[in-house]
Amino acid sequence: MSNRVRPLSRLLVVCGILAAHIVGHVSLALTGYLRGLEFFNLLLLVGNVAIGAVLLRTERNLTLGAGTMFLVAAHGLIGHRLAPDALTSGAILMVNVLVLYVGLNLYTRLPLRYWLAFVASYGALFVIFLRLLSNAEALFLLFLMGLSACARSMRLMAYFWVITLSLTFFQPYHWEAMLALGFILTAAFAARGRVASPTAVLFLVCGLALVFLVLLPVLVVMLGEDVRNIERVLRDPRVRAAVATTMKTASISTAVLLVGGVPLAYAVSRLRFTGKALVLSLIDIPIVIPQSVAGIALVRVFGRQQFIGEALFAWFGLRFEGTLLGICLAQVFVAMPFLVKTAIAAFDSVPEDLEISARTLGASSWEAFRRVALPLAARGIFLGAVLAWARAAGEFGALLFIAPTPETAPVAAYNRFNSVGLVESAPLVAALLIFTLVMFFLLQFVSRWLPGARGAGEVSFGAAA
Amino acid sequence: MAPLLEIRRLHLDLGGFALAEISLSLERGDYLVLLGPSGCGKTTLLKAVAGVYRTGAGQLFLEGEDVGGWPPQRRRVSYVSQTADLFPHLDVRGNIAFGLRYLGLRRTERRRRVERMAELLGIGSLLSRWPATLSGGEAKRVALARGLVLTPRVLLLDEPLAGVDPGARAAMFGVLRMIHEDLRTATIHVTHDRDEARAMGQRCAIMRSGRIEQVGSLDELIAAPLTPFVAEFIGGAAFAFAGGSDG
Repeated sequence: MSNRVRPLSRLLVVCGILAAHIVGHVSLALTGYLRGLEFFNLLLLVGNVAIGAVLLRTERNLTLGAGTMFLVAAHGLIGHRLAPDALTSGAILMVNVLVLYVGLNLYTRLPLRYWLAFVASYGALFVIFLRLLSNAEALFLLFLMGLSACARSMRLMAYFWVITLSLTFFQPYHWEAMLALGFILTAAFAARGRVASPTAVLFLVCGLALVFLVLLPVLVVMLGEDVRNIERVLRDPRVRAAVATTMKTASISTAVLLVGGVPLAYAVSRLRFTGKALVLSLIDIPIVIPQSVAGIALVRVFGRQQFIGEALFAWFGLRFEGTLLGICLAQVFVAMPFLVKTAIAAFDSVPEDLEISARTLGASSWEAFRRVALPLAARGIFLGAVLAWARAAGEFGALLFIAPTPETAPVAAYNRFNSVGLVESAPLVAALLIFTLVMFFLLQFVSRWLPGARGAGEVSFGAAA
Repeated sequence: MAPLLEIRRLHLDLGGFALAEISLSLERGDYLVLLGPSGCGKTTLLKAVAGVYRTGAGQLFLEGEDVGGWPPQRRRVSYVSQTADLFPHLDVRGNIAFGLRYLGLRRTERRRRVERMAELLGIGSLLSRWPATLSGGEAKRVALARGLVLTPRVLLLDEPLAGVDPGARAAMFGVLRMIHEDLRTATIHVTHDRDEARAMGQRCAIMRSGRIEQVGSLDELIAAPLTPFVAEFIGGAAFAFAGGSDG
């Protein structure tokens, strides 16, 4: 573009700019704004003349050269006056030259939006560091250099802003925010549909912002704690007992749910019967009602001096209040929908035609269930069991009423919080969080080894001919 | 001796759709093509014979026994569905061997039969593949092998050529003929395609909205259609160039 300017007009432009410079210097010196023979003033003048000579003698970019000259002059006028010393002034000048260079490169080589994003980012950084934060000029320069380094790629710019915003606005949770926001960005950039859909990607970003809300407290609790504190908590026998109780009761509850819930789910998935809608709604009840209400209701039925509770005690010696049995009862109650609903969906996804095939190949209805429906639904059922296990292990509200002792992990966290407060209970909370998450992801990982449709990745069953 | 399969005035109500007054018989070694437009109840009839649906009035005899109330696994009738319906969690070998364990065979014998049947149908090289990786024609053959390996009394084929690409059609035709000529398995072949019926059929049954209109050889159906529907359906443009029958 400017390289194609004819030599004569090029000469005129450069000489014009130089003349304007010299007139400016002289007039500023005459008006007393700059002292005429001040070293810095002379240096700027010499520098500008040198740049002008370079522009004339070589085929350098005219705009870039002229821009640099004006920047140097403007810096001499404003920056040098504001900067406390020559070193700072020089640093500001260097960074500004860099910014100018990057900006011009973006403008000439890449689509306009890169340049606009760069300019907008510059403005935003200016506002953040020089207006909102005080004494942050050095940081401003630092981030300007970062911005210049990232400006060639929109993705890098996005990550740059994640880091910048995390460090400025999310203090003191900057690491957590950086991780969470970085994850959202990575997911959005990696998102690929069969059909390119910016709408879907936008939805993903908005939706992940919601997930961010979940992720932030989790990360804060997990990363915010010293490993040694967590280790000390894990050595505490009371905590160990609570974790053991949780593992034991949640596993038993899940086993009970599997034995009772999977057949129910299969029946509901395969049969039409009167009251099916009612049964489906009943399964949802534990999700709908508040946990405390569930706990009180359970005490009302199975507690001491209640008819059924006393009868069970008299006949079988079963006590529910304050026993492991009571814990399991409450856990089964609250976790049931998670297993049954997932299992119903899993069986629904197995085409009935496959079972019909099995039947005509000689399998009885039980064999068709065992050899076709169950293996194909196994993965879904297992995921349901994992959810149910996690729900059972995390149950708190109902336990408080029917069996506050022996302590399970959530009850232990609550008791610790009540007795020693927020800060002191933090290591325990972090430990429990890590324990739960590790179990949860471990179990989900195991589900990959379960049988299911094999072959070309995730394939829908009973492919249409 | 009683015919292999005899259906007497069978009724079946599926709520919204019904089979009525179905009568049909099949001898050992017969190959019957059940022909009719889409939605006329061909598949329903096959499933009724296989025992998937509980039938209403009428009787269904297999080798002289009334099997109308039997569950599908007792009938020893193999039903090969239109969509193949292979078990996605089993490989091809496991699919073919699925029903063999109910015949009370030893493991080595089961294995031998699977391999022999796979060789016969030309799918010996596919035995350790997974169903999701098979083409439509291959899946159809595996489904056929899975049903045929049980030496069923009657083989029920629901649109065996649907979903098979044109290149593989000839091979599939060959397989079906070979089954019929070598194994002499009595077969009911359901199709909506008149050309397919012409290529395969000795006997043809024409179905229309839940009823059987006419049964007979193709020549009979063309020469003496009992109803206008049969005349129209069998004698359309497709037969303008037909010179005689294959039977």
